[in-house]
Parts: sequence; structure tokens; C-alpha cells
Amino acid sequence: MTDASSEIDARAAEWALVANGGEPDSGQAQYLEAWLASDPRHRGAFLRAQAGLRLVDRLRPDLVLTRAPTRPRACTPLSRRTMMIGGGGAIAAGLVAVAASVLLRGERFRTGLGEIRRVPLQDGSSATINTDSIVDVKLGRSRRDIDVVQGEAWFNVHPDRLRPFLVRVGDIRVRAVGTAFSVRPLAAGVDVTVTEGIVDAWDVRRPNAKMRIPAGATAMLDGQAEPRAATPLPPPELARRLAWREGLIILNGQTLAQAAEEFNRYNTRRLETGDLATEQTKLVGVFSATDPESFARAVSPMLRATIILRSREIEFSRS
Amino acid sequence: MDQFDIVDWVSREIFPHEADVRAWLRRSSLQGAEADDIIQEAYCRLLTIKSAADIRQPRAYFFSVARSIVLEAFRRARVVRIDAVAEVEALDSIDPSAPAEQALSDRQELRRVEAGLAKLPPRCREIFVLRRIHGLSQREVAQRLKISENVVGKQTARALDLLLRALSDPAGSQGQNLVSTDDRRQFRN
Repeated sequence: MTDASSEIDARAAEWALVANGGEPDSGQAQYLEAWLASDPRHRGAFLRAQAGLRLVDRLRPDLVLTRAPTRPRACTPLSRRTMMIGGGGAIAAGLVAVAASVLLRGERFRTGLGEIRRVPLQDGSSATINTDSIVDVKLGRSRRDIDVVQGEAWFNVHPDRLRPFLVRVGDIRVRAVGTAFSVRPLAAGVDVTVTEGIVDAWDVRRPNAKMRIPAGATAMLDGQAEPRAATPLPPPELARRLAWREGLIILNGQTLAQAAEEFNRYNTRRLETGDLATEQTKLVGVFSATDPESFARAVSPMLRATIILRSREIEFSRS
Repeated sequence: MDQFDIVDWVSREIFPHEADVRAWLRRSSLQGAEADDIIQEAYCRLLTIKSAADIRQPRAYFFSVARSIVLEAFRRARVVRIDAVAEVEALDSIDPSAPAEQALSDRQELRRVEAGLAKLPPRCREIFVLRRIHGLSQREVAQRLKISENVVGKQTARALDLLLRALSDPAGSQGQNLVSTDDRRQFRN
């Protein structure tokens, strides 16, 4: 079957959207693979569509701020204020009238299990919020306050020297001017990973012990011991840690137990390590965060294990 | 290096030059579907790149990949217009790196994308902007515009397809490409 090349481009656009932050649908991965395999041109068209989409994503913070050039009226419903309300969840359009007061009090962004959401902020910054997280945003005239109540988020901060961007995670504070970084509370403390620029991080109980974390480095702030120095990360490890922004889990030497823990952050259908709880084989690969079954099918032969598929869980077994 | 992000690399170093490669294909009398085939094949070959360090001059590389695909097609074809072959082989004498080897600035790209969005049908654009620029979920867009989620999905894909066409087709890119309109007319004759 040979489709017209323009038809292929149209299909490639659909697939690029499905593969990049579209509505997660685990069943579609196999169809995509089949489509890609059916004609060599499909792979090329898919790469092209993904790259074009990536270009749009990269320009998003700027595009958010600009009005459509031809029909400004068409853009009125997209004004920042109503957008923030819409982005804030299931709030009816009828509530737009109260938007102003909501803005002054700040806004809450919530993501469900497996949901990853990019939120453009009014100041030109953006927050990318990982699965099962709650982030409060309050943009004031002299400061920008963000509270990561639960979960993990990555911030791309629009530079504004007059308004410091301050992120709170419990007792930990991270302050940036113009930079990009992520914060993730863990049992051991708060992990801060910086991708661009420099941030200062500290514990409110030790305001004088500020830690400076440069781009490409990570630090764990645990509030207990002396803050340890920031650790530089090799670029692949940096990419791995932030792969969630693309809806991916990248494994590069993690064990099955670590991988399962990571998948279980995103899915109600849990991965149970079962007989392989102490399996030490190091796994490598790139997987869709919301498709634990494909992951399990891919790694089980390598681990000489079988998998038991149940509706609420997938269990690894040696029997 | 399995960590090489080819999508990101292509979005920065290759895709912005597609308009110029198409302009060149056009001058070589390769148009429409033929050009689309060649472009798809070229991207397919780019998939073999393992690291950005392999390619010093992405723009020139993109041109040379397209050129070799065209020449292979000519070799397979029984009847080829002599002037078309000459045109393709003359690529060596054109320096594809001359106009702008460096990637387009973000500013320029932003203008191009804005212009592309402006050309979309209004409804299609509205859906795409809500969904991909403002980041609403499919369901949120559907509720807001009182349409089905299926329509949101279809229109978002249609918008992306049209946008990519606008960005990569010199005839539609309003002089952003490096080939002047006069050039093109001349070669079409």
C-alpha cells in the first residue's frame, strides 16, 4: 500500500501528537510501530513532524505572549487570565468573571496520576508539572512565589531581576532569577536539579547556609546534616532525570525495583517485582511512562522472567 | 550515544532549512509529491545519525542527502531530462552554507511560526493554540469549545500538518526563505 506523500505527512502529524503529550493511550504504541514499519517514508515523515512539533514547543513561552497576527478578536478567549483558569482544572467558563480575585490569591495546579502538564505563567515563565503533583503559583509585583505542595515540577524562569522567583518545598527554598531547574521532594530530602543558569537553595531553618547550584548540577537538601556540595551531572544523566517532561522514563543502569518504583509514580496499574525484588541486572532503554506493560514485555525475556498481567498490576515471576 | 536527542537536533538544525531544500528541489524541476517523497526519504536517512558531533554543517548535510536521493532516483529512471540532471549536479557549485550556516535565531523562528499560525483556518488555529500553546488537555479544549474530543484531536493534527507545510514550503512562506520569488519563476519556466 502506497499512500500519497501528503497523506503520509498528515498521518505523521497525528502520530507526533499522540507520541508527544497527547492523550495517553497504551494501545496506540503498537499501532505506531506497525505504521512506522510499513513504509520507510513513514519514519522520515514521523521524525519531521516530531521535530516541527518540538520547534513549536520550544517557542511556546513566547507564543503564549503574542496575539495571533491576523485576527486578534479570535484570540480574545485565549487571554492569559482566562487561560490560567482553564488550565487550573474543571472550572466552568462562567467563572471567568472572578478571575481577577483568583489571580491575587494565587492559583493551584493539580495533575492526576500519569498526567504531565505544562503551564505557561503570566510572567513568561513556565512550569512543567509531573504526575500526581500540586503546585501553587502566586505572581506578585515584587516577587514570584511558587509552592510545590506535592510531587515534582520543572521551572523555566523568565528573567526578571526585580521579581525573584522563589520556590518552596516544605522548609526548602530555591531562588532563581532567570534559569531552569526542577525540584522533587524525596524521602531523603528535596532534590534540586539545575538545567540552565544558577540557583540558590537553602533550608529556612538554616538561612545562612545557602547553597549555590550551577547548571548541569544537582543537590539534595535534607535539612539535617551540613548541606552537601552540589554534584555535577553528566548530560545523559541530566536528560534521564528530566525525561518525564516528554512523558518518558529513561533507564540507564537502574535495577528492576528502581524502574518499577518510577513507573508506579505514573500508573494505577502497578508493576510488582515479585520474585525479582532483589534482581540486580542493570536495565537500559527508553520507555513511555504510561505504558508499564510494554516495559514489562520488553525486559522480562532479558531477566528470564515471566509476567503475570492483571488489570490492576503486572507481576514479575520466575516460575 | 543512545542519549542523543535526534528530534531536538532535527528541530534546531534541519527542519528550519527544509524550506530552502524544497526551494532547491523546485529549481531542479522536482515539485509537489516528488519533493515530498524526497524530503521524507531524507529525514529517514537522518535517523541513522548517532550524535550531533557527526555532522559539522547540518544545513549542508541536509542538502547533500537530498541531492544524493535525487541522483539515485535519476539513475533508476529511464528517461531523465538532461537539464534536470545538470541542475542537480550544479548543487556542488552552489554553496548551501553561504546564506546562513548558523541556525535561525529564536526570534526569526518565532516570526515564522507566528506567520504559519496566522494562516491556519480560524477554528483550527484556536483549537491548536489552546491545546499545544496553552497546554489545555484534549478534554478541557472540548469542554471549552463545546465540541467532541475527537474533533479536538483531528483539528490539532490538521493544524500541525498545515503549520509544518507553511513553515517548510517556500511558496507559502512569504519571502522568509532565501530564494527570491523572481528566482523561482525563472526556474519554473
